[in-house]
Amino acid sequence: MKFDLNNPRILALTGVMTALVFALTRPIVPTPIGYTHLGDVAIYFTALAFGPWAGMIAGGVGTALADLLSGGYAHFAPLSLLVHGLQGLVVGLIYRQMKGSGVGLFISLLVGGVIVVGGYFLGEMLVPIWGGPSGAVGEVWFNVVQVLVGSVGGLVYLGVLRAYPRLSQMGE
Amino acid sequence: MITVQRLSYEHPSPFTKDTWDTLFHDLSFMVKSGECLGIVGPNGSGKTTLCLTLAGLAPRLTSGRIQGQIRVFDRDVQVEPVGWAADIIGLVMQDLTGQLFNETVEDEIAWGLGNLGLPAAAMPDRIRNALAAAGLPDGLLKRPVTDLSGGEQKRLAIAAALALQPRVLILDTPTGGLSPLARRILQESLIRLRRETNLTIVLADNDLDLLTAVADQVLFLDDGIIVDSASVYDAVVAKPYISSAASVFSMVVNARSDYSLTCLTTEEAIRQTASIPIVGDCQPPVAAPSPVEAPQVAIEVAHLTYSYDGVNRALEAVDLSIPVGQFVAILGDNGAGKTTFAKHLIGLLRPQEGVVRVMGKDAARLSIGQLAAQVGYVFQNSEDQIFSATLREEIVFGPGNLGFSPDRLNHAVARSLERFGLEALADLPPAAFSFSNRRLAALSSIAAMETPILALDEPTVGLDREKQALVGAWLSEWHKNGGTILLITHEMDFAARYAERVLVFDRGRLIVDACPEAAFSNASALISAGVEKPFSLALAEALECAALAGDLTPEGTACFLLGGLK
Amino acid sequence: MLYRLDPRTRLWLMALIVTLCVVGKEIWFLASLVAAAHLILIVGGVSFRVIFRTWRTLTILLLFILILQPLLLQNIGEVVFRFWRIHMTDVGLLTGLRYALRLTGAAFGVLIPLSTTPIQKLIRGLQKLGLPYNWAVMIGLAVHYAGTIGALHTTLREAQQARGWDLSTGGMIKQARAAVPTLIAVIIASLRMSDSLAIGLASRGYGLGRGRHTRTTLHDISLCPSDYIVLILSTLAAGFCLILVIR
Repeated sequence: MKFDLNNPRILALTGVMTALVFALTRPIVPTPIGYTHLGDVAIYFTALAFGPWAGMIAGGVGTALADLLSGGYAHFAPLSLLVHGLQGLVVGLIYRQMKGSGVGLFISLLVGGVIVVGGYFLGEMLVPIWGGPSGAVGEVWFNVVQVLVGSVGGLVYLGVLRAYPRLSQMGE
Repeated sequence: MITVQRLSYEHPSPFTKDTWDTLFHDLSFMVKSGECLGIVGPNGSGKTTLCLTLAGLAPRLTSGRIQGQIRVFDRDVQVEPVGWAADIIGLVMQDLTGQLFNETVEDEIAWGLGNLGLPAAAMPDRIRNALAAAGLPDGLLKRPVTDLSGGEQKRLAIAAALALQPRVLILDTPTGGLSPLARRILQESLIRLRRETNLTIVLADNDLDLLTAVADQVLFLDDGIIVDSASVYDAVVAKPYISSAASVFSMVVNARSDYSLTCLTTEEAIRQTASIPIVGDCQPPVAAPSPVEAPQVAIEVAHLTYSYDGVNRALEAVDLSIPVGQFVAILGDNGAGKTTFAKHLIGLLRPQEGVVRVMGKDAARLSIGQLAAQVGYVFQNSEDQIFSATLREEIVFGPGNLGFSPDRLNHAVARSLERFGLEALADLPPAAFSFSNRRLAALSSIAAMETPILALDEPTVGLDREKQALVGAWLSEWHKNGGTILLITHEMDFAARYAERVLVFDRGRLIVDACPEAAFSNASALISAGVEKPFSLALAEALECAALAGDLTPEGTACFLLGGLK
Repeated sequence: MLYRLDPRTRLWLMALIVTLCVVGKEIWFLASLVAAAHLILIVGGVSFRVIFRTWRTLTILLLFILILQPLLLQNIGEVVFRFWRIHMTDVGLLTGLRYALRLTGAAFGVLIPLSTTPIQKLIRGLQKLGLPYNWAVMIGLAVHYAGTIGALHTTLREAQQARGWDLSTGGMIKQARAAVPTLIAVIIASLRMSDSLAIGLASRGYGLGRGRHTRTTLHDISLCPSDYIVLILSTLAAGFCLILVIR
């Protein structure tokens, strides 16, 4: 199916997946910069199950909304929009290109993780309102943990596929 | 005007690729402009899918394929583009989570109008008219949707559909999950709508009191026959999934074919039986002698108070004690504190004031995991709480966490599967089951934990009578084996049939705590709490016969009536 | 005051302050931006509680920057302060302060629209600024259903705990793994929700508007004279600052 937000089915799916990312990007463990959460799990799931466009929108918009309404980290929203949007897009593209294989799953999770860690590092390094070099350096390790936690998304995707076979029909 | 010709629907099997399951087959019917068609059928007969198909949304937004033709006011709904019918066919689904997604009541109604491109200046009038037509007061306009009660939300969804000024209104199970009080208010709204407008209505619901009051004709989806609503009774006698009144009278008629009763609604049943000369013994039966030794206490609650926001009390000073082996029904309107109470038993909520003791131990000192070994807790909407790849794994989850030995585990799982008739499905993914089977799967996964106490939050909502009876049989067996049961429900007949004690909550207070006969006779408390009398008791009162009230099961009632018919 | 302005005006004020935070270098200038943002918020009628809460969230983050930044720049500038093998230089400390002020300025700048506008109104404002309608609907739905899914997630966690599932012990990764069954259940429920939402949207005419009608809204937003005054004055002031900074 063509990705067209005018189609109620695609609008509903994208909206709900964005909501899922937003809801799971709730702080579990606050860290000095930002917080640890399960949002990446939902981004990986969306990108793996529904492809790059849904992954991009849900990842970018979902995390940006979570930042905006977090009370304090709101101005990080544009950075999250870019980084997690790119994460969803690339994970979806790679997994689709590799025809949904196990290796594809592993590589896409890995690349997705690199994008998140690298993206936040570069963004904070280069744009002064996001904390500067100290922020960038300080946050790397938190983001590594974050990405490791998020890679549970691969397991979750396989779990949903097994438990809810209709997923494979829903497509994009 | 709706004409349906030779309509069949198949959907892809959730378990095997490239096979199709037939949902309904070769349906033909017609609904004239301004008339109302009722649709009844057991779980899985395709009521929801038929509603969606008539609106032109299934199979295109769901999955499946159809044959046959549907014309609504001379347009073929399956050919027109999706969404075309928004201002011709209004649709209100059973599940409101997909229907209400705006902040305030007025935004909710305006949303659809915006899609039609209605100028903003014309909106307020339309919104007000729609609100009034659905039986909601003007004062709600600015209220957040989430503040409304379940019944009000249902009527808001109807208002949002009516605002688009459709010529057809399709309602899928509007009474689902509503308290008896909310059901009757909804019924009044629909009757008024029929009187005051020329709307064509399709009403899919198994509440026969509602259907006979609103519909002109009724379609039985399991066998495809249509009868006019006056003679629905003849058609339902053989069908076990219908109303309490019908099930009682079907027993009477089956036993005494010479006597013809053509009644159906509770009201009518009472009116007709009033003429029956009662010859039975009108003395209340002697109560069974109570056990001499004091029974062990399963749950003890003293002065329990809880508030979610620190201002409004969800529970206020609740005191009660439940002995081991008692079957307790908990009744009350939506938001009365029933769930809040039950959540204390498993430690999901901790008492802010007062004490909760479970099997003699202070619940505040036990973890949720420790309490889970004592109390099997079935949440509301348990059918949505499923995650395993096979039903067997799903059932193993609970007992596995409780550390059952392999032998006991296998035994518990096998027994649970058998109890709910799910053996054939054991190795299939439960999330793909039909609604009723998912509910049964959730119940079976709690049953396998073999806890001494069961707490169930509306386990029978949305189940037809046959499935309800299955749940009832499981609970009575559990009870017979010495288990303690706390059952939250809106199904009065179900409560009256199985429970030996009734608790009624009203705005956080426990206002009634008595045996069912006494509890349901407490008219003022029932009205205040939005609780209705069960059919058998209403009948007993109408006949002014206390003996009938001694046995509130349909069998008891039927037996008694048969005695009276001599 | 702020509450009476159009969402677009509030967004513009935010954009000006954030831009100046990025462009500005001088400590005094950045500090006065932080002060200006506070002034706008307070005059605009935002409660002190909101401002205080934001400070509390930012505190750890700011301390982190103020301490770590000098450590990254130990070899540049005059050493002000020495402890064991750690040097703190004036350049390092001032750089840390600069980044901290920029972050603070931006954090309070975005508070101007966020703390005064319900999110759905903000989306309406963005729509007027060119966000396509279907994107606006999608974001609005995401905000709404995030609440629903959050509540569902809590219930599912509770339901699984009630089946004896222990979520509370172990390290972060172990906890994340323990969350898998809950996550699977919440995703399946979300997928069902999306199926029923698609029907809800279509039955109320979503997708109908293409070509046939233009969409309308009950409460439209519009710029009024006070908006224009604020827009002109703030832009002039920012332009003046920009010249000052660049010079």
